[in-house]
Amino acid sequence: MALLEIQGLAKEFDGITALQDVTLEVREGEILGLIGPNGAGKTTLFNCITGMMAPTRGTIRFRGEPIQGKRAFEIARRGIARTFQIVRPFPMLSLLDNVLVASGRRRYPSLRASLAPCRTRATQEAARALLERVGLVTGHGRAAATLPIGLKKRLEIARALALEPSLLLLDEPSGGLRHEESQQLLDLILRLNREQITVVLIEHNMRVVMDVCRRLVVLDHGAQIAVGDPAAIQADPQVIEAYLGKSEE
Amino acid sequence: MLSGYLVTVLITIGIYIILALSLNLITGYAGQISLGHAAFMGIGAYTSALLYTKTGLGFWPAFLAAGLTTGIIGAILAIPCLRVREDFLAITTMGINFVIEAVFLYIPFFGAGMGIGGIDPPRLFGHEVSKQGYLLLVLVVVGGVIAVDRWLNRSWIGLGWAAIREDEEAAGAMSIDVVRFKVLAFALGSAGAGLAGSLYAHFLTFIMPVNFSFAQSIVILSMVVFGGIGTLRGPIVGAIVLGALPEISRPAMEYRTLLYGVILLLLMRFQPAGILGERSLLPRAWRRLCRQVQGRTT
Repeated sequence: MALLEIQGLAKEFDGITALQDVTLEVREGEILGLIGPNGAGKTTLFNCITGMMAPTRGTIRFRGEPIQGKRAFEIARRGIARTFQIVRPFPMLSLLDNVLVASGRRRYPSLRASLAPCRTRATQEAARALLERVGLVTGHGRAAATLPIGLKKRLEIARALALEPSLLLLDEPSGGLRHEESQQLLDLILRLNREQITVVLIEHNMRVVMDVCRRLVVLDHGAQIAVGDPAAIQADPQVIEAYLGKSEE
Repeated sequence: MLSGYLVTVLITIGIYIILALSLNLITGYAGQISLGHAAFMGIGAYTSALLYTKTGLGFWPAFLAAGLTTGIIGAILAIPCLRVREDFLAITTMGINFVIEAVFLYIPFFGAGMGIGGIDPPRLFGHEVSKQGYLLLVLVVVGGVIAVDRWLNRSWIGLGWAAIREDEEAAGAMSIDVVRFKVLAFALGSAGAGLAGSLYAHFLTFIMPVNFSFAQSIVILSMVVFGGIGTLRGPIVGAIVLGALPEISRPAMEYRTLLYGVILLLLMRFQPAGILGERSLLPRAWRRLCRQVQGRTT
């Protein structure tokens, strides 16, 4: 069954077409890879799904309900969480507070519930457990800004998990990481996926994509040029052209 | 018994503490710069003064009405502030200050340039509250504001504000309704300023538009920044030090604006988090001292 259905999605900024007629579905329980050259519109697609941008045309349905044009917080409350290509944890907040912010998702809708203390033993323990789950075992009181990039990426995943998402959108999780770091991150993604979280992954590292994704979607210049399993995508002439250019004959 | 002069200074400082704490809620906690806080103090002062002098309402209901009215107006004026950030927000809030001051200055209903006089101190059990009694009242309100501040800071609302201050877009992606939280910060901060304005009006017994000018907003902001923006202790200490300074020395009174300006410049250069910010010199030295003392005793 499709968890997320996107139909005829387009996004234009002042005459520039960032996305045109994208139609795809994300199936419950899968890890879908979203690939394409720089500027293909991958992050714009994430921004449209998560409500950080309103699409110009088209529909996005999550669990059958239209969510296009809704604001970011409403979409987050429905269970779609994301990380950012350029990491953006809350820099001066502690690791623990970074995670706690997202764990308030059931509290924020009600003013009364929002007035309750946020750092109780239960909420802090839950946040610690999430930090440990992504491999951040110590230093939960330090400011997020002090972390190296690899750990910031993990923190962002912990924060996204605190929303208890059923769909997790990861924007280049292995970008800027050393080989073993990105390997550990992939193991984490596979583990989360086994725990019923559907994942969409934007990734430049082809080895990573081919390893973890059963299905790939390829974007180029805002249009979807191919969908299929990794082997078919690797052999697709249009994909090869998008990445390498047309061969001269 | 405290001398009358000292009581006057202490009351003024108490009112400044309420103003600094309420501005800190908007600018320190929620991260929304405001250069127009004195306008909300003015709205509170005029609400209270008009209700008292024109409708014959007593001090107590007028005081509460001032807080409520200012909170509501703050929420409404937050709407034009929602779409702008940082420097544009600074200019917008500054504009709000000028507009509100002009309303007081040019509309006869608000007493125009003459201001409003004949605002009596409150009465309690049929007796007019003495100056010492008024100081006690101000201190009770300060205590209440501190309690509310601490409560909010520990709640999900405080955490949501912190997230918005750090990264507004990421806060939205983490399920925080940014618009609602910002309006709430402006409403509560303005309500605090409204209460302070009411206390100010009934203490001076006479108010004029110039009391609530842009310069006054800068004085309040200086107190917040001086002590340490975003902390609870910072604005309190800032209000005490900068509030007492002009009283302690005559030259400080005459060159008040210059003095505040110089202090702000020096702080921005050397201690941007204020003298009592988390990572500022004084608290760090204090923590080191504590560790050394501890090390010696164990």
